[in-house]
Amino acid sequence: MTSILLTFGYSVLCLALGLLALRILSPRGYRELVEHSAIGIASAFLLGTALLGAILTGLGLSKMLTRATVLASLLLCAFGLPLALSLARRLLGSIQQELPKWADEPISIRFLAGLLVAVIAMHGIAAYVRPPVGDAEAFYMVYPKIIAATERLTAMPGLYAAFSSIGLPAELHFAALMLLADPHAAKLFVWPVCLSAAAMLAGIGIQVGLARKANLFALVMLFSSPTFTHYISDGKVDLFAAAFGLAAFYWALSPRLARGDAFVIALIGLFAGLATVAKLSYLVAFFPPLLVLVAWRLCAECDPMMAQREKISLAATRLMQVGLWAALAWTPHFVKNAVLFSAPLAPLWGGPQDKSWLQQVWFSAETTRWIVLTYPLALVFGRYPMQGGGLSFLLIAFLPLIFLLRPSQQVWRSRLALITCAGLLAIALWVALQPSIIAPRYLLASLLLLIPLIAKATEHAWNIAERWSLLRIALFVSLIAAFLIAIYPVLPAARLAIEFARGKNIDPCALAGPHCAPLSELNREAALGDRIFMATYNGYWLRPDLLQCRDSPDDDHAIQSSPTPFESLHDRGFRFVILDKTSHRRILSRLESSSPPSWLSVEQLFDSPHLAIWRLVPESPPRKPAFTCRQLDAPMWEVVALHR
Amino acid sequence: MKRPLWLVEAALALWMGFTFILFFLVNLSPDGPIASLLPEFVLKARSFVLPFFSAPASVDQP
Repeated sequence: MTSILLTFGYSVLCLALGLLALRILSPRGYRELVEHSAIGIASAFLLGTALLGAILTGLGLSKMLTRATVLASLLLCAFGLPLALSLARRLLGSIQQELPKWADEPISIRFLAGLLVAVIAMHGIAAYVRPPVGDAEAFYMVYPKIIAATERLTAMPGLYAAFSSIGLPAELHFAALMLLADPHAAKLFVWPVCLSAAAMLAGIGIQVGLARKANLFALVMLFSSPTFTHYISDGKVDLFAAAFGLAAFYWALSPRLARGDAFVIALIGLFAGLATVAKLSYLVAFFPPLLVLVAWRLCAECDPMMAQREKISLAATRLMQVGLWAALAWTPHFVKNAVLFSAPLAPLWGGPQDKSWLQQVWFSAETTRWIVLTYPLALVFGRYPMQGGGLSFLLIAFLPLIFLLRPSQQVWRSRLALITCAGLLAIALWVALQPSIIAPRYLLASLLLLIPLIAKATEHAWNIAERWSLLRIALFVSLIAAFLIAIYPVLPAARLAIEFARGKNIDPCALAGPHCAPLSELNREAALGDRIFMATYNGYWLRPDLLQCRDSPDDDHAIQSSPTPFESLHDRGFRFVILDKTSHRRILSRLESSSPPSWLSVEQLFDSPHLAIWRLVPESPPRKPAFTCRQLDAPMWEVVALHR
Repeated sequence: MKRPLWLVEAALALWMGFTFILFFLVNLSPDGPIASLLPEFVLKARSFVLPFFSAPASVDQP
């Protein structure tokens, strides 16, 4: 319970910092921002998250990321608390005003709205209860664990050292919350970010003229999209980019943009920068459509008396301003990579040599051709490896309803048409540049722009259909079915939360992947600073000292190329070996086909169809290991070479 | 506003039902608790539709 309150307090302080920054940036813009309390809160929270992240990055790089400095940073945020409280009061007032309007809606709509609130709450519970799974077990929750344990930001030891050059939108917050509370509190922080993304989508809906019912349908579509809901509770950070991206699109639709409002341009640029640094793939399928949208609006909605050349010149100036603000949002990332890799522009330019993850090809040419041919169905129904879920099936189910809409007379000036085109442009760019990668999360903010048009069409169909007509029933049943699909994956987490609330003892590995139990057992077996050779991606469950003392890419190369891999393991100081039988078959067969020397016995600590763990026990070895792991600069552990 | 023809309504309702069934089938886990409650032909239908929306990757997990 304490950790839930802590995450809540931490989120409120992020909001406070964001409000403070916005007020300093533009007092007039701030006054207009807080008029729409939900949007104001979401925008300020997201901005505050980024600002606090930048402060924590600075502390991490200075090796001063301790509980005391995190608390001091939060104290700084507390200066904005009066602003946050005033905005919260305003939000409560808006809710009180809004609720009676819902009473006029039919019971089916009220039922759907109630169900939506329940689904959102259940995802919050899952975000807290569910252990990290998948990529979060490999990097996104492991890196914060190491940062928190070492009280500093360095490249992540082991396999993901080069990957540490990516943007870190959430990892520093996770580390701070791990320092203050526990990993559950850290994971829960994604939930307010998800709420901000939902608020921003609803805000976009309002900007493009969606009424209450259509916005409800849009949110149902959002929360029934597995590619969105999966990342609320798995421990990954994709929703940060989505929330920043949606915020950028929201501000790009502001009526004040056409007037060249500097505050709006700053927000567009900042959120665009934050989204692209949080997810580099957004440079391909988010930034260009955003710039096109901004440029189009600037040209189409400016003074009609203005000459064409003037319009273009004005749009170019504004776009440059957006770019400069975006570059400002990238600054903490530049500093981080300059300090850690002596390459501020890494991973795009310079930095670690291993950039294979930037040029990924996931499928064969034939499969890629098929994937491209099946767009947009593949975005919804696709079950490809590494896809990470698709969009809501409602997007395809309700797609034909757009033919029931009467086209707007000024369709090209309608913002609804504009954002739909921006979404389609994003898909076209992605398919053209990364056809082999089918992963909606890589361009989620842009994909979600397709929702408002379909939500509007759904509302229109709902309104024209009679109460007990086949169409109305089909719409209602589809929406309920979407909810059932959305709820099903979080039911185990809800059950676990109920058991926990009843005071039952919960297995720490409940709902976790196959690595949890064996790695937890290994924590009990291994001494402080023991070296583990990890032929697995997922190391989250290991103790931080073991994670820091793990194998480096050099170790991997030396062992894999050695004619006597067991001797090499001993020489490099390894005491344990973890072998993932599903993902690291090559090294498994390499070790299984070699025999250990007579002076080295290999004990099997654990064996399952997924995983094997071995302990290496040298008995009067001919030589001592050349490497060991020590705490030279506590609390950090380092692998050091021994002079034999 | 004019209500669509009943034929259009029926076609739309069928389409919605079809998309839901398709989504259900591709997301159905053959080892999960729901699959054990379903008749055999549902799993056969799943095996039929899945290849349209899935294929093995040519790389390891990045």
